[in-house]
Amino acid sequence: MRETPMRETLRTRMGWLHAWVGFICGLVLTCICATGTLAVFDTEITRWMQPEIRIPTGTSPTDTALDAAAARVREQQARGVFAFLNLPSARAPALEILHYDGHEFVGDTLDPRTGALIATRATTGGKFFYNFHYSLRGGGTVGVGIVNILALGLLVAVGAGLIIHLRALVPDIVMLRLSGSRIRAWLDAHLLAGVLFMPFTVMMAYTGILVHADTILPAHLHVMTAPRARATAPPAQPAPLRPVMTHMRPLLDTARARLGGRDCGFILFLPDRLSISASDASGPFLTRDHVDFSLPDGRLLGTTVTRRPIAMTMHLIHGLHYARFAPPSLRWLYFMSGLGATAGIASGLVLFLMKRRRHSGHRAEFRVAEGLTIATIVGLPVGILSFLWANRMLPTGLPGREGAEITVFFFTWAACAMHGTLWSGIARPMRGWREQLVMVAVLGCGLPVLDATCTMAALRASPVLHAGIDGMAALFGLIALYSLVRLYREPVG
Amino acid sequence: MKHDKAKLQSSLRADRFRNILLSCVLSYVVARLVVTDAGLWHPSLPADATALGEIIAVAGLPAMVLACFGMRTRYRGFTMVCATGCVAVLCLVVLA
Repeated sequence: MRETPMRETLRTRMGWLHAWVGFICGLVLTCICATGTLAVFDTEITRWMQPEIRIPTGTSPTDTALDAAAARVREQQARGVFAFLNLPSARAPALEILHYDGHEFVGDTLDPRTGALIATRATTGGKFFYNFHYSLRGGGTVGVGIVNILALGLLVAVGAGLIIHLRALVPDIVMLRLSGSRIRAWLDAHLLAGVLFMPFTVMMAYTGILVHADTILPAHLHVMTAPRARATAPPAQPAPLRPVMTHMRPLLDTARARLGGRDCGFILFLPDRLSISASDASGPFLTRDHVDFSLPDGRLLGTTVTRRPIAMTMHLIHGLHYARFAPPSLRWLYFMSGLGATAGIASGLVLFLMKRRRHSGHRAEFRVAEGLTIATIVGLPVGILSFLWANRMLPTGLPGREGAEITVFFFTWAACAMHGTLWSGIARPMRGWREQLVMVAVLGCGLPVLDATCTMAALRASPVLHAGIDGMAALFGLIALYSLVRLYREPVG
Repeated sequence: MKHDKAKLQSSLRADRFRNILLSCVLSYVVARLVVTDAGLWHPSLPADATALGEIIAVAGLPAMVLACFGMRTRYRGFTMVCATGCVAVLCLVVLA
């Protein structure tokens, strides 16, 4: 086939960059964005996934409960578990004794009124989505580095897109021609989502990279290059754990006063002292300001408050990304913006394929790309909904239950990827799209029914929480159903 | 765009691919130099200084990639990024 010469301009170069960087990074970025969006409500999802916890929000912990929790933390530390105490908040009303298991913070849940252990089903809950969105679940430093490189790719793609559409930026926001040709409608939808949510997308990508910037831009600090005199010294013996003889309540009151009236978030129990940190929800600056008390007597040792401008800037960057300070209304805005950003990237993936179908649709690379796109856009929601279904369907006492839920997620998602690639491979990709949309519709619309059937008591105890999560699942089910109807009306491929 | 010439699509693709690779490598090296410079700038507060370097480098990295790749006329993009890199190397020599 004879090739036609092309004239190279800034727009064509940027168009190429936007398309290819956008597609290659976009396949994974869609998953990162979607799970990050869910992580906005990670605490609420965890509460939904642990229906055994029926504590009214706003329940303040009693003195008995706090002291019992402190004793339990020390008991776990004596067994070699580095546990800490997470205090109740407006979002999570229970006392939690947590430790890091290599992926998430997990542990026991206590009733803040009595200090008694609540027998809950083992689950990673919403923390799974949080963990997945920044490290690809278990990716460790490599996973975090990959996510950061992809986020840089997103910034490059957004920049290139901005250069292409700079002159038509405002008209793009008000232009949506769904009744036009298919490709025109998708392009308008991509531009609308892309332009409208661009500030949010850029903010989240930029702040997200900065949270773990050292993975891709490692610093060469002086302290690292200083002679390692201590490295050759024999390892110090761990200090003996001093008992907690004091009551927690007066320490919390003192800490609150010393932290300028901010709520306390968690308590670290070190061998010879305890450290009470300010809550992440106390403001947009996600600081680690804390008040230290000696053990066993509870004497005040000092207060650590960061006020340096650069450190405060970093705290603000962290706070804006994590949004733990956000009230429910702002949290919903983050959620909706996250969905918008995800839709922008996902529509870009579809556009990339649509533009190349005529010339490259027969090629193996194109078919693999389409299979992966199906797995990303429709397979991921199937996996997420399967994860929620598994939470209700798996026996509560199953050993390694939290791992089983995650296995269901990855197994379902992998099956969707294979299914999509298979149909795409035999040149019938629309069948792959349709069948997986049916799965989303069934699982999404069925989740409220399943929830009501399995956990009616929890639903009565927290109707708003359950209505929110079940409602969102049903909404996605209905959107899938609508998309399915549209696909049947316009059969292609 | 007077200086651009019409090219065959295959050679255009190869040219773009080479350019994006070079742009990424060059921009990354400059970003690393900025972070290293920043770490040396304030020896008493290396963590804060490095954080400032990261704030600048992360913002600058995509911009440098776009400039390198997009500004082809007389290699203005490459020249700009290389000049920034030279300044960063000079700073490193002075601060180290």
